[in-house]
Amino acid sequence: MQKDKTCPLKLFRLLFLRSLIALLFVTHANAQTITVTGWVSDPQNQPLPSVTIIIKGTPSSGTTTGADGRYTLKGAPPNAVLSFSFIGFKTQEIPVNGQQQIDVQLQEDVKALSEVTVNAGYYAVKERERTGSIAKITAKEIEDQPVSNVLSSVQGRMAGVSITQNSGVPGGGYNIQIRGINSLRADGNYPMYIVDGVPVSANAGSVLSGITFPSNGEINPLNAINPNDIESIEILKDADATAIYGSRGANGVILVTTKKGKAAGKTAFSVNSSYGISRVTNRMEMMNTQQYLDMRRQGYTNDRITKYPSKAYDVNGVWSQDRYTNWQDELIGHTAENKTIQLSISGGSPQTSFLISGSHNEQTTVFGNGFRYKTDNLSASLNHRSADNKFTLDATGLFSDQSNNLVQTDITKQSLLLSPNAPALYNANGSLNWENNTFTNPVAAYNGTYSYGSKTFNINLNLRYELLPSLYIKLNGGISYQAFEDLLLYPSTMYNPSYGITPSSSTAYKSQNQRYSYLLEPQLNYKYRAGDHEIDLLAGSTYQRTKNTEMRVLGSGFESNALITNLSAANNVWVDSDVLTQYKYAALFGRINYQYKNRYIINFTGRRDGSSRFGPDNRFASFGAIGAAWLFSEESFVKERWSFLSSGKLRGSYGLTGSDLIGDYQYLDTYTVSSTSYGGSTSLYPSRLYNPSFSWEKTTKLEAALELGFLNNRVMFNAAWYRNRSGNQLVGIPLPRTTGFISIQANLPATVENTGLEFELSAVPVKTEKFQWNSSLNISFPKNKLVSFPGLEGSTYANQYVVGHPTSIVKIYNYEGIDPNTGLYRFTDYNNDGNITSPEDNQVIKNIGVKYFGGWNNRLAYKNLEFSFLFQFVSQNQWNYNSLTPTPGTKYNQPVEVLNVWSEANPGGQYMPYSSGANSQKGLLHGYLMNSTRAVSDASYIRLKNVQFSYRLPVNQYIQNIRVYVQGQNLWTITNYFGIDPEFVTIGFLPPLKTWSFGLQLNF
Amino acid sequence: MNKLKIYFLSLLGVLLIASCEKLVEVDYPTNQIGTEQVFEDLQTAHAALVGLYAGLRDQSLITGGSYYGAGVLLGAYADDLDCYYYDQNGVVDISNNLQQKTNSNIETIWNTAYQQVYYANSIIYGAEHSTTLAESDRNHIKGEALFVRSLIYLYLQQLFGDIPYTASLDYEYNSKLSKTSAAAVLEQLKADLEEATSLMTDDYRDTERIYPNRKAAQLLLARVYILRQEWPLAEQAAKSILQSPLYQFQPDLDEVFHSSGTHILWQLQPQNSGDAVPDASFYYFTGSTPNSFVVSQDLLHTFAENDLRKTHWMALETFEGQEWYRPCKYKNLPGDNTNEYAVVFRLEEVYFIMAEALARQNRLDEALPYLNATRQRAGLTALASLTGEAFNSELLAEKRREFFAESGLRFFDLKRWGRLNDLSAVKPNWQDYKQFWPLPQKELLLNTNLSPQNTGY
Repeated sequence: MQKDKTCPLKLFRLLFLRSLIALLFVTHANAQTITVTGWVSDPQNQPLPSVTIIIKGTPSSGTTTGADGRYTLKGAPPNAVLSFSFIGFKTQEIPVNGQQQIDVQLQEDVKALSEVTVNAGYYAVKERERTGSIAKITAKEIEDQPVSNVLSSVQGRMAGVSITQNSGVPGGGYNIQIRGINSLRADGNYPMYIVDGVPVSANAGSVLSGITFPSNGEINPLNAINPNDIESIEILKDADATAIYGSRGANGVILVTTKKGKAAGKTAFSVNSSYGISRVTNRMEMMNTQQYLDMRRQGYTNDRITKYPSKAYDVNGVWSQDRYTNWQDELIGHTAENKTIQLSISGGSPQTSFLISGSHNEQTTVFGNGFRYKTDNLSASLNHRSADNKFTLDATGLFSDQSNNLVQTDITKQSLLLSPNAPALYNANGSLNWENNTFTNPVAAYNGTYSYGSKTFNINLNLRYELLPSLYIKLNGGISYQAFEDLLLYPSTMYNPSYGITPSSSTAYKSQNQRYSYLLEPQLNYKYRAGDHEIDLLAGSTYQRTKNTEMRVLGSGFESNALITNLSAANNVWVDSDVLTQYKYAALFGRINYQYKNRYIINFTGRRDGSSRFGPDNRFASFGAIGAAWLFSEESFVKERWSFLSSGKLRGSYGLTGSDLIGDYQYLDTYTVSSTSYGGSTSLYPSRLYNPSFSWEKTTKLEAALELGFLNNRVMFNAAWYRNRSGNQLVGIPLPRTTGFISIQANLPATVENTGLEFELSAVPVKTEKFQWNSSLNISFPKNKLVSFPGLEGSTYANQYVVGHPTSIVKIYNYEGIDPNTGLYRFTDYNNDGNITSPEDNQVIKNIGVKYFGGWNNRLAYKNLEFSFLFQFVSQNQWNYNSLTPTPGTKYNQPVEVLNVWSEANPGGQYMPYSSGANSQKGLLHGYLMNSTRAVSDASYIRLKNVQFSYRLPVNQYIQNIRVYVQGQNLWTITNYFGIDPEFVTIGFLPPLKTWSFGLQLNF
Repeated sequence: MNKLKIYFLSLLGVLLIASCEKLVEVDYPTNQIGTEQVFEDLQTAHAALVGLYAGLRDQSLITGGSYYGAGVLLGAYADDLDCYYYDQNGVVDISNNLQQKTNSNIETIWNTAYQQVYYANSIIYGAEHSTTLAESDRNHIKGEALFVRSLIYLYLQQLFGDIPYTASLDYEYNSKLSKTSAAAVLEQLKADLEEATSLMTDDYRDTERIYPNRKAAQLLLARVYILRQEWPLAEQAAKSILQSPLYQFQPDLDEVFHSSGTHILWQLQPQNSGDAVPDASFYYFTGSTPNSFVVSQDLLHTFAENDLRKTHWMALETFEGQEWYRPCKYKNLPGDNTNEYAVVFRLEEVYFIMAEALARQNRLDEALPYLNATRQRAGLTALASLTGEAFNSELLAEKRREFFAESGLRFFDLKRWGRLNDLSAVKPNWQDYKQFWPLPQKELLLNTNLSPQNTGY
């Protein structure tokens, strides 16, 4: 319909252009050379900067494309052939044939993926020449996910790396297992985190955060980094990759590399903003009031109690028996909001480039009540190279400010246990309802808040200078600083007024932790190449010093709760802890890499370490590994016979790594100062049982892997087998309390073995000009086993571990069913003594842990549309709700499954007749049930972890592009698990949330 | 660039070579002192003792108003208190005489008791091996630690029967301890306390009597003597306290729990000025049903109508037509306390020990005045002469009225007099084997030498 209108214009344009071309042609027809201009784009029609364009045969003449993808090449003979090349793309050759405008779309070169380099920490290695096991994800995958910690986006994407979020409360921690659990010591399994070359503490929390967050109050250090600032995450797994980290590499190493500015581009601005909502993934179906009260009354009837006790308000008439509240809706059913905005500027000249990025993120909780987690991040990077290319400098600075305000105890458990006819939370006037002091109001707990503020500052400086040809001298240095402040409040309003507690008993804890660490790593690197031989040598040393200060102050007694956050208003103030600790670490390390004919590669790495965490006689130890790879697809006999094989590599490694995760000063014989005073004097307590002779925990790692590429690497397949053995276990050996302490720090001659198989398959099933589908699948089968434990029988671990079984086993009672004569649970009495006792009768061994896990990731791109989704699957056993629920019939709500109660009329009933709590035998039997085969069950799940849909709007002259996206996380779960959610670390805490997020990204 | 080159090379050189011992040497953390150093100086040695007393005050068997203290738990385990608290596998089970070997409160009691035993042993060792402390200081430090250790052991023995006894710091030895028979423990405690009394002096370290002196140790020794039925020794120990000019009987009922009284042998001072004695807030409730424990009907019935202790040491609370008496020996609520400390040993107990020692030696007439003292203070008339069983019953009953909800004395008295089975009248779950608590199961699993478990569990 618009044809008529445009016709004249089109005609004009055509005429104009034709005449222009003709003019140019005429102008240059006489000249020896012409100037060619054009635009180079990628298959998605995006401009491709830095593409090299040369005239074939005269490599000295050439140019590169700018940030907009445009180029101008002067002095090209009209009959020349131009070659367009760029890493990751197929080189295209186009004859000029007198054309002065040549636009090119380069096709991605899948095979060239093997040219991709991987960061191995102290050195980078080409993917195809890699001898070690390193998993990687890049910004592309990270930015698809609406998460505030990058570890959430690693879930399901890496073989051998199992990650579980500790709770759905924002700002907490993660349980990370890189190829299983090596140490018998619960807190001895943290991986090492390195951000831009600088190690950061694996737990950024404090003593107080332990009250709120599960797993010792762990707060993950990567919370301090905006996932969108991250270029890549590399996880080092095997000996070849980790031995260069020596005493700290046993549990794997997580390398975080932040984004850098791109050289020689125009100054680019980017704005990215998103808004998301989150809710709990699932709710349990609990009894309603009628069902609940029937259960309660039946409980009393069964216990032959006719007069309800004065405290049984739910059934004795004090509380209304017509009320019904779904406490999960009320307490954890709120919608949490998540807002993010990020601005970045990047640019530079061929010599120097920069990137500055600032972001703000805000999240609320499903508890409602204004609890909020906020982060502000500012990161800057500067990269410079001298004109002669001999000197390079890379500097990065990351600053983050997090603040988190939460209820101090997770209310999830309460939302499940509270009587459904419990009174309203609030009175009509908005005040807390105590129902005449009969109701322990759960939201009164909201007055007891926990809040923290964490400021972290990481600076990294990396200098490199080419001293002689191929001989580089490097200095990697960094500073990591964290100031962590938290405040835990116990105002009198938390408590039922009948206790008569006034603000004069209100208490506030305030703590300040500072962690300051610096690192210096001078290195020498030499690369030598002659004919078929290639050698890469690296030698360096590390010196790290960490200083921690902690000051914890407790104030009690206030005139008014309004003053509670100000300790100067407290009647009594005392310093609970004031301590400065130091950690010093020094090491020498090196690497020798030798390649022959580009297909035989051998890699030696080693490290000698010294750590202040050990007694004077045990401070130094050596670690090392050997790795080798054979690129058999380069052999002529393979090339001839198996032409479908585009790449093939066999690799293997063996080596020794260690762990010093035991905390500082454990070897000292001391008394500790305590703020607890008596008679006006402070007190001293023996710090620990004295053992100065413990030393490193050592892990030997063995790996073999096969990597294959088919159909020009359109299909890639990797398989890896590993066996890690951790010995000289450094643990707090549990002791009977008659020793005065719970454990002693010592090396245990036990060996834990982690073996496993990892498979990765990636393919590009469809690839046309407009449509491309990438798909990848990974699956890992980890296996953990206690190989040996001399003296286990007589040791304090006798009832915890069994040789030949995983270290994550539990020994539980065998549930047989309900005795039809008595209606009581029956458990197997293994020693036939007529009593169910421990350890004689809890003989069933169940493994709480993962059998296999993995993910299936897909990315579909059609023109400007992109759609990706990730399924995560985990096969595992876990504690189920039976391990948590109190005796049915007591004053706690129960899941509807408990309605299936045994009686003569219902012999298939699964639960014992109810008891109000007065029947101690039933209480005892229920206790066994909570620790029996009924309480551990399959908790496998398949989860639609991530969905992302994005659309790139066409470009105009002001805005380079606009990207609109919708992202979802944890959207849909298939599971048979009996409990609120199968993804958890500690049962009874808020599980990870389901999130939908909408966003917009502008680049200009 | 040349400068840079030199700088790089020298730095590299320094750091490559310097990887030696010195680089990883660290100072002590600022909150810790070497163990030997602690006992080089009187101040720090006293600070170690402070740790012991603070532990006794905050969480031990003698901590009042606590779910882990004998005053509350044994009051409820016997017949003095009724439980209104609710928990699982803890306090409620103990109150109902239904404790399991996994009972969490029993476990905590055991754990903290042995922790304090270790602390005491560490102090004893430190004092014995100090080369710089004056002999008198070494003596009183060791004496006080011995006294505290004996106090804990005596409670453990009374609760668990045969118990592991150790004076060692060696964890390998301590992790393989076997049980020592009850009789042997008592004999050991007698020796320990006799040594403690020889090391301590009558002078109080603090005029408020917040640290034990020799007389406090003698009282504890007297408790051991009567358990061992060494009546003359008990009489002698009690007499030495009664004859001391340091102590006077407190005639005013309302002054018994005021910290200034000279009838007090030893009391525990709250940490901060204004802090309440735990008992004061523990039993407190108003305008509701009880929160923790109230006085049992059985105990209430043993008071005569005009017994002042019923109105002065208990408080009546009503809610929705129901009435409860809560123990109210200590009255000052948090923030409001200036004159109450937690009394551990008071002279009245010495009166009862004296009465018992004399009565067991058939000197009833001599014994009677010691029995009448607290009666008369409570506004009751003195009893005329009593004979045999009647005297014993009255001694038990009067001591119960005087010491209800204090230090678990009621339970120990019933036990010593062999009358625990009388409890079946009011405690439906009482059985003979319950005179002992079960050893914590975890402990037996970690140290098989502690087997067998106490009978019945």
